[in-house]
Amino acid sequence: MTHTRTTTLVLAVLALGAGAVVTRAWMRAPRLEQPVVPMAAAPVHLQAEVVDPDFSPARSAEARAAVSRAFGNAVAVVQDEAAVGDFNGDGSPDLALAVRAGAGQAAAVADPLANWTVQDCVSPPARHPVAHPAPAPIVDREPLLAVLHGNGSRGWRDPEARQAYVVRTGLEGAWGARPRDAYPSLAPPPGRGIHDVLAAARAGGVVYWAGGRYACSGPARSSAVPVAVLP
Amino acid sequence: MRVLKFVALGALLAGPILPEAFTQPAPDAPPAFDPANMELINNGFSTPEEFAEAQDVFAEQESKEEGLGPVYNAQSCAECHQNPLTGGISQVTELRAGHFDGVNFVDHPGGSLINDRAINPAFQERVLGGNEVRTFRTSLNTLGDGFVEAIDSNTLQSIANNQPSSMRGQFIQVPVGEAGGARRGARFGWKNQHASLLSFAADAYVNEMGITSPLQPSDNTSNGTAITDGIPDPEDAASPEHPNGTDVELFAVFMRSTGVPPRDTVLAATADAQAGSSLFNQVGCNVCHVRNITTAAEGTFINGGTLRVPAALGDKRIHPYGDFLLHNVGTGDGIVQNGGQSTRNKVRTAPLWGSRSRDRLMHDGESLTRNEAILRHAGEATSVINSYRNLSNNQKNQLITFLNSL
Repeated sequence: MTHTRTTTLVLAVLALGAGAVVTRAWMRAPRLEQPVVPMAAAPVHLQAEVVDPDFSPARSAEARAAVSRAFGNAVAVVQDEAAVGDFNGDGSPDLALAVRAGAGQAAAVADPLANWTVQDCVSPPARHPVAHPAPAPIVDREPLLAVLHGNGSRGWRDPEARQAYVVRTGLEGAWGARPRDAYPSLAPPPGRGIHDVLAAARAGGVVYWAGGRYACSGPARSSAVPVAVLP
Repeated sequence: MRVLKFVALGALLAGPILPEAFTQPAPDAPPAFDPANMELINNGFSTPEEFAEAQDVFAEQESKEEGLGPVYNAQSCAECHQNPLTGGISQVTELRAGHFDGVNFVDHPGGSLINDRAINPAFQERVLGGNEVRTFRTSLNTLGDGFVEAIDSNTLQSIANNQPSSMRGQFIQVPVGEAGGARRGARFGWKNQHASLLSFAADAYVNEMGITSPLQPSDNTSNGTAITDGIPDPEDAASPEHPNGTDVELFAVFMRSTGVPPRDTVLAATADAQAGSSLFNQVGCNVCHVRNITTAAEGTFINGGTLRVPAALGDKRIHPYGDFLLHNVGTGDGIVQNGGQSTRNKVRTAPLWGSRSRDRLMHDGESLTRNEAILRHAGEATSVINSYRNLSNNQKNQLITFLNSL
C-alpha cells in the first residue's frame, strides 16, 4: 500500500513537471502573428455621418435655447435673426447669431477654461509683443458672434451639440449664411470641402472657418476701430 | 491503481496551467531617457555600438551628393524628430493637399504631399489651383515605436471591438514593404499609413528627404512632373548585410532600440495630477487614449514573418494613451492615404505619451492650449467632451495637470 502511494506521488510529480515543461516550451516556441479576423467594425465606419441634415431656419426660441445650452449665462442673444449653415464643412447644420457678453460676464466669456473657444478678430494675439499692444480685454455687453457647431444630422438642434466659438468681430447687427464660393478671395478651409461663411448684414465683414479656428475678412478683420460697447 | 490513474491524469491536466499560474504580469517598457541626464537609453534591442551608430545615422544631415531631393522637407530624420532628444517630436509640419469631388478625395498631382524644399528652384512644388483640401501635419514622436511595432495586430483589433459602437476606432491593414506586401494592422503615421518601422523609414526617407532605397526605389515628382537629382536610384542601396538599404535599416534599428517617453514623475505624483488621472477615465478619454497595451510575446514573428519580437520588446506593457486606430473627431484632414475613402476625415488617435514636449497640438498644430485642443474634439468624441464640459474649472485644471505629466 505504501509502495503504491509513493509510486502515485512520484508519477504525479513527474506528470506535473512534464506538463509544465511542455507548456512552457510551447509558450516560448516561435509563432507567427495570426491574421486578423474580418473587421466587425467595418459597417459602422461605412455609415454616413450626416444623413438628410436639417438646415431649416432657426426659430427664435430654439436658437436662444441652443445658445443657453452652449454658453449658459455668459452671453445674451441680441438678434433673433440666426444664421444656419455648414460653417465648418462637416455637413452638419451649424448655428450662428449675434450676442453680447452678458452683464458682469466678460470674464466668464474670456475664461481660458471656458467651454467654448474665443477667436479675436478685433485685436488678434500680437505677433510681436513689443510692436503691438496687448489685446483689449472683452468687456461687458460687447457685441460678439456666437457659433454653435452641429452634431450629426440634427446639427445644432441636437442636445449633444455643444462645440462653440465666440468670435470678437467688433461688428453690430445680424449675420447671415452665404455660400463660401461667393467669396473666391477667401483661402480654402484646410481639410474640408466647400461650405458656408458668415457675412455681416451691414458692414460687409466675413467670418469663415479656417480649419481649427474662425478667421475674419473685410472690415471685421482689419478694423482699427475700438470695440463698440453698447449702452 | 485506479486512484493512481486519477492522480496522474489530474497532474497531467494541471501541469499546463502551472506556468500560466506563475507567470508574472508584463513588466513596463523602459523609459527613453533619464530626465536627470537627458541621454537616450537603449532598450536592449541593439548593442551599445549599434545603437550609437544608428542614432548618428538618424541625426545625420544628408546632402545633394548623397541623394537629397530633388524635392524634400528636411535634411535629416532628427530635423523633425528631435524634441527633447533625437527621436522625439518637433514643431515641424508637412503640407498635404488634394481635391474633394463631393464623393471621393483625389490626390494633388504628384501625390498629396507637397514638399516644402527642392534642390533646384525649378523643382519647387506648390499647391495647384483646384486643390482646395489642404492641411498641415505635425511631425510625430518615434521614441518607443519599437514597442508599438511589437503590438500584435489582433490586440489593436480587439481594442476597436471593445469600444462603444459610436466611438469604435477603424482598424486598417496596410502592406508591409519588406514582406512582399503582406498586410498587417497599421499603427504609424497620422493616417495609419504603416505597420512596420522599416516600411515607415523607407517611406519617410524618400518622401521627407528624397532619398530612395530598395523599398522605395523611385524619386518623387514635382507636382507630377518627373524630375531627377542625378544620383542613380536606389540612393540608399542594398548590401548583403542590409538588403533594404543601410540607412533605412539603421533608422529602424534606432527606433526599435529606444525606450518609451517617460512621464514627469514629480508632477505625476501630485494630488492634482492623480485626481486628473481619475477624471481622465471618468470623462471617458481613455476609451481612445488607451492607457495600457501589452506587446506580443517574445518570439512572435511579426511584419509578415520578417521580424522576430526580441526579449527587449516582447511581453512589455506600454502606456501610450492611444489606441493606434483611426477616428473621426471632427478635426479630420480630408486626406485619403492607405485606408480608403471612409478614412478621409479620420486621423489616428494621437498617443499622448511624451505630449508634454509638444506646444502645438492636434494633427495640424493649430490648437495652442490643452483646453482648446480638448474642445476641438467633436464627432465620435462628442459625448466624452461634453462630459469634460461638465467638469468644474478646478477639475479641468486637474485633468490638464495630468496631461502635462505625460
